[in-house]
Amino acid sequence: MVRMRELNAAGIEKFKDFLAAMRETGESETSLPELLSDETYTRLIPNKIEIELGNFSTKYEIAEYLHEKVSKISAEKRYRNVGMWTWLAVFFFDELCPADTEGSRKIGADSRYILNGEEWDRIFRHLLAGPVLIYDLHRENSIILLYNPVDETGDFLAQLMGRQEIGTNRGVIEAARILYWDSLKKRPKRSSSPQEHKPGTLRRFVDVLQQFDLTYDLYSISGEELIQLLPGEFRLWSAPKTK
Amino acid sequence: MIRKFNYTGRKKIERNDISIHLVKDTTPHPYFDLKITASSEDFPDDAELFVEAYDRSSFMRFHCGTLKNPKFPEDRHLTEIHSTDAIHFRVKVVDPSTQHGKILAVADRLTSVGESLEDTKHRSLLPVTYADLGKEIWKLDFRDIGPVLTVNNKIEDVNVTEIVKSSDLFFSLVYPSVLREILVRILVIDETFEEDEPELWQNLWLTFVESLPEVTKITDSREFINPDENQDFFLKWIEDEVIPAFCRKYQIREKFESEIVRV
Repeated sequence: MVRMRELNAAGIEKFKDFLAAMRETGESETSLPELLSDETYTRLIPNKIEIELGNFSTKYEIAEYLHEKVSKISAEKRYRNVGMWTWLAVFFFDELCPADTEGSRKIGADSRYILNGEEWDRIFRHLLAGPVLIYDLHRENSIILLYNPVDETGDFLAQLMGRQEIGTNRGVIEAARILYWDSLKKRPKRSSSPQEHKPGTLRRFVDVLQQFDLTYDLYSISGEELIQLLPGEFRLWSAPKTK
Repeated sequence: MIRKFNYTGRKKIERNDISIHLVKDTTPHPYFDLKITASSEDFPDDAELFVEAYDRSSFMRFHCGTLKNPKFPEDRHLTEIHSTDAIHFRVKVVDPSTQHGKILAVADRLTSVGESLEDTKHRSLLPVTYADLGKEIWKLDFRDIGPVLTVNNKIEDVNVTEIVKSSDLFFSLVYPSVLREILVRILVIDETFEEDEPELWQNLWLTFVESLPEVTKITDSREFINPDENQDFFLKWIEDEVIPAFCRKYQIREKFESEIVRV
């Protein structure tokens, strides 16, 4: 177990340099394990929170784990601490940016690892703060958004969280989970999110929601109620499976 | 541009009928004050009033009584809204007699960042945010809610917020370019938006520029119907009419001259 820390401004710059060097040459002089506890670049956060590495196979698992940890931090500070979320990205770097069999890593944009603390609509780009916030909003229903490996972004996440009025609506995400989540296989139902707007599938769901949003007060509707409102093309997905 | 049909008979609440002020107190989160002067005559007596505050990643909803008799909750602090500088509001009138809450009227994308109505009006078109932009000083970011001006907050030894608020030099160098970029985006790059939705950011910007002295009303022109065939016309209108009119009205050269002598 390790006490959770936060990077200071110099620490964030050091990590940014690490990412740039890795992107350019595949190597860096900075040692992440050393950076994690270096007093020059980090400090302990006031809340005594301890964390450890684990085998997190999905965004959901790591979000559930971290949500429990950061819930000790007051709501107004939880998603604003850039240093803490960036330190967490360093701590879980092997999960967020795994090495391939030859040991090389594909480094993504800085915003995947360094939280943009000023532009809050960019929080979903961060590979840890984004999933934790989604879990915070939607709890068990967030599985439909967070089923992918930690370093990947799924289609459901991209389609549903890209729109504020959909992404923050608990009833809508609940309805998406009921319609499209296969709880036995622990993945979205087969063929539920093709690229085309086929009847009853994810992109049609978003289309219909945008029409409904003009007519119904969607924030007052539960997931079950929303499914009752959907046109017949969605019945295939909501019907229980029969052999 | 695209025309949109209102099949559901949903009514609009005019922006002028709503004023929203954000107020900061000693708590970590601001609260909102809202005044609504929309007539309740066309609505059922029990039509419910909701105010929704949101940014891209968070949302709060307040039940505010009925349109006829608004009753605002005592605690209107925006405790669950993450953003401090780009909060938007939606005001809804909902029919409670239907099973799924039919929307009778709505006003969306309302903004307020100031504590006075003047601030609200002044800034609602162009919210400002601050971020680390590396070597850039400012940039325009086009979001669902419209353009947002982002200014680099990592410039050493400079109070960027103060400069944005009160520097004539900043205003004179940045805002004409901002206006040009926004109009090019609306008329040349995007081309399509729903012209019958006055609350849409594109319509708000066009209304603003058409109110400038000596600017021809482009939305009444024949070219406006087929934007993809008239890009040169729009570019000429922006360069020859809008930007000069904006610079005249806001005395851009005078602003620049008055401050540059102190540099």
